[in-house]
Amino acid sequence: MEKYKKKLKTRILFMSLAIIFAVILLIFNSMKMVEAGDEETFSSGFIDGFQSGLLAALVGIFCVFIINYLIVMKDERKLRLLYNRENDERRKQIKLKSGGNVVLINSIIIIFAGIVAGYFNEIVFFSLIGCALFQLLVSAVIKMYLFQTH
Amino acid sequence: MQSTLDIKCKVSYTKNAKHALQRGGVLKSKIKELRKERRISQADLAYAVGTTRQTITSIETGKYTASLVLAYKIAKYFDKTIEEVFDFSDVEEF
Repeated sequence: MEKYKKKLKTRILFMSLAIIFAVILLIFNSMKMVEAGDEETFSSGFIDGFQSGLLAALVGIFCVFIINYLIVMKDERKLRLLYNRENDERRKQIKLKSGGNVVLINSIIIIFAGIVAGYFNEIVFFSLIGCALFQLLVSAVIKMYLFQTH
Repeated sequence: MQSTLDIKCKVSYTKNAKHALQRGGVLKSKIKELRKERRISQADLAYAVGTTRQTITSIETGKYTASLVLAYKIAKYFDKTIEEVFDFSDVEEF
């Protein structure tokens, strides 16, 4: 369990760094939106809003994970339950069958590429975000189906 | 000759489980009965063998076929052999 605790601590560290990075981007985005004011078109406003929303959601999710990990690390039973859950063979099998980490990593990369592309071209932004969301949706549906049948 | 038999025993669970999956996916187990005998909850068993309650439910209902390692852990938890916990009577001989 000590190894797993170390793994959780590493995760907390990376998530904290991601939160700092996201907050900096969020501040930058908010400043950009305030400066643009009325000059912003609907679509560019939508892109800015989407980027801010996504970053805020990322910060929120990572905060929840960090709090959860901190609570779990204090309680041996909860730690063991989380370990069992993460290393459960059935879950691993379902995860693999529904695309596993590949879909998730691909989607994250595509979303970030979309956000960056959003600063230059809105068509590329919508295409990439749509592609990532579709990929995630398909994976989630397959996962839900497999959880019912396996 | 002895070594051949050993190998056969080791692979028999996985091959039988695979057979069961190919034939429609049901490998019966006596986990529920054994649990009830000893008054153990699914959560307690899952905690002891390092899995989740949902996986134990799936194994009990025949939706999921446990891996050799998990089957061994479950059997060991009940102080029984794998064949005593998992029912291979429906599985054709290979």
